[in-house]
Amino acid sequence: MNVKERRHSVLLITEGEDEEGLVRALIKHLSLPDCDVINAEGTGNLKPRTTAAMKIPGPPVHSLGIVRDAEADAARAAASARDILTSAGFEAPASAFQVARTTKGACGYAILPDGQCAGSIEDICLHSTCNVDTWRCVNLLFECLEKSAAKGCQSEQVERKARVQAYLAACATDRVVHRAGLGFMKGHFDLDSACLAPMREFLQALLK
Amino acid sequence: MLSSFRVEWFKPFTALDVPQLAPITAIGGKNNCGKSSLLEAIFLFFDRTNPELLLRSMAWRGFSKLGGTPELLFGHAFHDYNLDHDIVLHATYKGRRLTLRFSYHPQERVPAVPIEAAQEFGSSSSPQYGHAPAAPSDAVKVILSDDDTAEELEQGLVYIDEGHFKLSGNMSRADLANAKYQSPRVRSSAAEDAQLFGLLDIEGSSGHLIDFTRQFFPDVRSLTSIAAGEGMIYADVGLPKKIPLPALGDGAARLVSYYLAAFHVKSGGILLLDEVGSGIHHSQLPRLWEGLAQLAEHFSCQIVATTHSYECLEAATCLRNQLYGDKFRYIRLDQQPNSREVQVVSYSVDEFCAAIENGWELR
Repeated sequence: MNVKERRHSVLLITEGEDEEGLVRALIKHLSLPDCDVINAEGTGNLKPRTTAAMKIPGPPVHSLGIVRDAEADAARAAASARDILTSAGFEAPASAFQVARTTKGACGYAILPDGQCAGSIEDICLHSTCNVDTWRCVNLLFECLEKSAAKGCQSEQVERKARVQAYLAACATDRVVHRAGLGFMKGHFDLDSACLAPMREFLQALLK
Repeated sequence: MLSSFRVEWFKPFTALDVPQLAPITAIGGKNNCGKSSLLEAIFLFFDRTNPELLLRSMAWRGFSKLGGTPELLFGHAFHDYNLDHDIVLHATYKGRRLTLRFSYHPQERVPAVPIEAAQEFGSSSSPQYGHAPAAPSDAVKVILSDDDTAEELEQGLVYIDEGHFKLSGNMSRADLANAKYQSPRVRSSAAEDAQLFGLLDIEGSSGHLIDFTRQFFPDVRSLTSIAAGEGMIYADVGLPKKIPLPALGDGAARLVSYYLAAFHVKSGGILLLDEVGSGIHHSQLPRLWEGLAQLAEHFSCQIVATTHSYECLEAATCLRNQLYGDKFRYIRLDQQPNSREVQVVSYSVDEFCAAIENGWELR
């Protein structure tokens, strides 16, 4: 039976697969030391999976980070992340992207896109596209769909996801990438983008 | 219910705090981390009126005879055989905070009062009564006290006389529940099970045991206690003759044995099951946990079970809907690297299920 173990003293818990992809891509891009990254598969699972992951046999957890979307309310998402860090025995920092250091260790939380506004990882995608021409075409496609009334009645969130997926489909060479997280891993988004500055600094502070 | 337990200077432990025990608690951890010792410590707390209490666990571990000096005989229960440190067990039981202390007294003058004498080491015969000699003997003083009132509830002296362990003093006054320890090596004997079945039958409750057994072994039509020889439970499985229960297989005999143990400890009692899933096919393990949950519910008893097996722990997640909230805990004993210190890692139901669902190591 192949049972997963923890190998590092830095533990990052992400809300989903896309956030996990972003974190893994940034760690590689910034040549940061390796750490354990665990996908909680949904905000509802963040708390039990964080506290359970802390208890996986392995090195003591010296640094703990949570990466999740703001969704409709960044302040509520931040409060939830602080509650999880406190449950795990850490003293949570007051704001997103900050790293608090105590005798227990370092901890912090990233609320995407920027810790202030409502939104999600797709907002970062929209602001960090590598291929400007492809992105212009995707925007033209959506304008065209809107004008021809061919586009379904979509919420803003769904439309952002649809734009990101159209962009990723257009970027594909041999295989279509459907997930934003994979897009970050495959280099379809600019990891040096200004909109990712807080995230880069957060990971650098947590993993150093 | 036993809700928390602390062990000091017992076997591998200098100090071990188990702050949260649940109606069903599973205990895991690597070899030699102290899982069985923790069960033995809990059993010792409840079985303190047995003069052989300090030696019973040696029989469970396969020792049939022990020799040596009194220091050696008593010493194996003490941390590092060091008799200078008292064994201290702190328990919160039904909301009462109690402390049981064992202290070694060389050449203690044993009072000449009626005593309860021990049965042969490792045997299950009934205790006898006699009178303690007035001669000095190496002894272990046993004191149970109430932490909140500072009242000394029980006091006894365990000593060796003519090759037997004996107990004098005023024990059994604290009115604690029964405990029963079972492991693949040490189970109730077939005769003991048959005797308990007889008592169950007298109470008119054997039907419940049969219904319970049939959930897992539908072929079982009825069970009977046969007094021939030492006594044995026989099962009617539709064959021309009834067959001895163990002939049905280890799983059936073990489940019935667990049932009868739960019947024995009754309400408020505690069932201590070492290596609970051992020898049972993985496909049967969810049934085993379901059976244990039914026993805990039906007899209002508590179950503390150890296991090494990931499959056995995985099977326990079948109880997720029944064991919500505080009804289940998983505890792992972690030996610290380069140290003999043991740390308790305690999982809630949600954490336990999250770890299993993700295939994370938790043993």
